[in-house]
Amino acid sequence: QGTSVGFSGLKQDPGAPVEVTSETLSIDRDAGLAILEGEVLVIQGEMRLTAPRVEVIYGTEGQQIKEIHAQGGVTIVTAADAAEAREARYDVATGGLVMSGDVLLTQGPSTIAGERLVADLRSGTGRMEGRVKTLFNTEPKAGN
Amino acid sequence: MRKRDKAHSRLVSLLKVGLPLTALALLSTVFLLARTLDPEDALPWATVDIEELLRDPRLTAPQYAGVTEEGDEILFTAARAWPGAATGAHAAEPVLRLISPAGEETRAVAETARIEPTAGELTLQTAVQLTTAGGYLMTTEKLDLKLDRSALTAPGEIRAEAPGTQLEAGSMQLTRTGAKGGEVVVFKGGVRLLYQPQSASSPSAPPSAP
Repeated sequence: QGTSVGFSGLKQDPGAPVEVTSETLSIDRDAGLAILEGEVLVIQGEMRLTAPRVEVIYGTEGQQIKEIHAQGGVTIVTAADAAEAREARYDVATGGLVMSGDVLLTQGPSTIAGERLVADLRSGTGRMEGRVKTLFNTEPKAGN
Repeated sequence: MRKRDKAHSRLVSLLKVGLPLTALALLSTVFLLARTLDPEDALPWATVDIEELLRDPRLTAPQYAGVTEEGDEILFTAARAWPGAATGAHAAEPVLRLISPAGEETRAVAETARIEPTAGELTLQTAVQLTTAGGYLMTTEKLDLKLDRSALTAPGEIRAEAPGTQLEAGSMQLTRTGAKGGEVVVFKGGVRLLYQPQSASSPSAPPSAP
């Protein structure tokens, strides 16, 4: 079953400058792939994404980004929400975000856990799927 | 008839004396009125210090060309070159070009360079500017290149810029190990990248491919 989730905090401003810091960055133009490794931190507006490894996949014509794939334990923090998962895949064109693997979403007092979170950052809506558990006003340590 | 003949012969004898005299006079003006010739500035010559030229032998506009194992062409030219301490040579205003078979060019310029053909090494130093085939302009202080490989290494701090993207890193290595022989650029030692999406209309597109 799935629970629909409000994601106003994650609504993205596409024009805001993006600041990225990491240990290493390797860019392979033939493969259209850039790999950031080592405490990768991506900041855009109020959104901060941290992960040990982030892959940036470019479109065929080479300049535009098609997809960002963060792996190895991802946390996304915005003004209102915070989301954690093993993996996150963000499709730049559609603004679609898919987080999978022990997803934990905290929104103010409530925490929602599940296997997969599918969200549309444009409209700020999302759906949590897979063994969804919603916890309200729990102690901070409570997890599934 | 006699009187006229006498006059005629007197005229001829007068001319016989007068004409050569005027010829002499004309001739002398050639020397008297000639411009004063100054032998000093007759031959203009360069005021180059001959000793200095002899003391350290040098090459002007030296050129080095080679092909790396990856099949890229290396072209190295400079304004001047002079022998270094060991076997290598120093060069001023070097220009290094690495051209892939597909015609993509990576170019680097600097103030000085040291080339060591025996060890197959080339080092560009001070104010190194590197433009990659991908369109990144990178500035650093030192750039090393193995003459038989298409690998450029910037051991020190490096700044890179492309339209809408600025990047700083601790070090950089550029190789041509892409699938189609394209460039692979690896920044290490802490990377900080600032990307400004140009048009607000385009979806939030972080770093463009350099």
